[in-house]
Amino acid sequence: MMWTEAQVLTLISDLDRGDLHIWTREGWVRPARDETACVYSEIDVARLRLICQLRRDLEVPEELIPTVLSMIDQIYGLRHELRDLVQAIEAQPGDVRQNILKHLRNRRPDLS
Amino acid sequence: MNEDLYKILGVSKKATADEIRKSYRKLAKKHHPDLNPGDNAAEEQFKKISSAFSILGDEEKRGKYDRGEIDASGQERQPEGMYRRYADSAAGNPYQSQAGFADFADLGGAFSDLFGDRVRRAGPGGMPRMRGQDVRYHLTVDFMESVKGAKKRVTMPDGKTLDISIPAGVQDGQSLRLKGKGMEGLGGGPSGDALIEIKVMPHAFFRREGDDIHMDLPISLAEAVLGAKIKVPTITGEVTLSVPKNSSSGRILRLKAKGVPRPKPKGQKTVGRGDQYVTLKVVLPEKPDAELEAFMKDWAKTHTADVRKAMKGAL
Repeated sequence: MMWTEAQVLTLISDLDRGDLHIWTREGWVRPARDETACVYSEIDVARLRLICQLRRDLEVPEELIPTVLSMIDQIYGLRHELRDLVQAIEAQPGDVRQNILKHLRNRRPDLS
Repeated sequence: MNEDLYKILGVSKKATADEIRKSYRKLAKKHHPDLNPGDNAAEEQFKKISSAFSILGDEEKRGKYDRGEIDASGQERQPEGMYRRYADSAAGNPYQSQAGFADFADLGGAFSDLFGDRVRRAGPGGMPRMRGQDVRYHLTVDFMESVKGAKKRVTMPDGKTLDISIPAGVQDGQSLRLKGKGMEGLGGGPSGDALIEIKVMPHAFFRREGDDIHMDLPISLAEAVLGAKIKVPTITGEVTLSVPKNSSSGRILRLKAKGVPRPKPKGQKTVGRGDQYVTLKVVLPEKPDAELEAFMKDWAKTHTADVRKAMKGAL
């Protein structure tokens, strides 16, 4: 599902055109493009809602929003990587898995 | 759910609008699911808090709730399109960043093999080398462009233009990646890629299945009975199709190598093509035809073969 700029503005009532342009220019949101304009996917719309929430409900000052977004993007990047790593470990034979777990427990006595 | 909304927001029934808003913001900061990505309890809590605030934060709705005209569940509103739902998908998301483990590439051993190519590295002089941003495009092409290939010009976020060659045979929903055609990198880092998602508009009469083209061809009763040579459109122009005499509706004729060009296999020069399949549809005269009816009445008297005999055994 893709939305045009006008559709996005009706979808998110507390977003105005000026903000949307600034946020897009600053790269806070990076919509895809067709031959003439930006087109917004579900994740772009959800991210715009998130920025609105950060600003309005969480009272994050405008100048800190890029920092917060960057932290969020890093966490999802890490989570994705960690998930891949766990899946790779799960695909190993039992003794390899056991060795990895043993190694982790040795490093982290609080986990055992 | 019929919980006390005031309790959820941790305020008294006499709280002022300002106190409610303050308490809501405090709780929202603590429980916002995107600040607690692995924590489903936080998401549940956040949903409760935001639906409670959607009532108590609105003077009119708060009044209705206080008077018992609406209950907590009746107004429960799912916060729409939670970012996390898209950001945490198994396929990853276009915004996720590898900055959180970029230095793992310097750990040596397995990690440098694993992460070395994928994350940014410090360039000469310690300036961070950053790979440029990928840019996503959605391009719509018509059916003929999709089978013949097309050139499209798009505007990049920085105002530059980019010419994109869409290869012949591209499929609806297919993604193309043009390496290095995204935004320029920083500090000598490589450029990002252009990621192009293709939508193909359907054609008035051609349909595509794999590399083959299918179409229905209307023929007259006379052509069906007597056979005919008929000019048929293909994606590369008209060809003459021989319809054998006594062809029924539904008969499929093949035009060899008149389909979509196949992607060139590595090391081979020749490009294969799919075929075009033509399904005959016998079309009777637009209005009832007295002459034809008279002839058919006569003809039917002596031609009583059962055209549905194949169905009988199956019932």
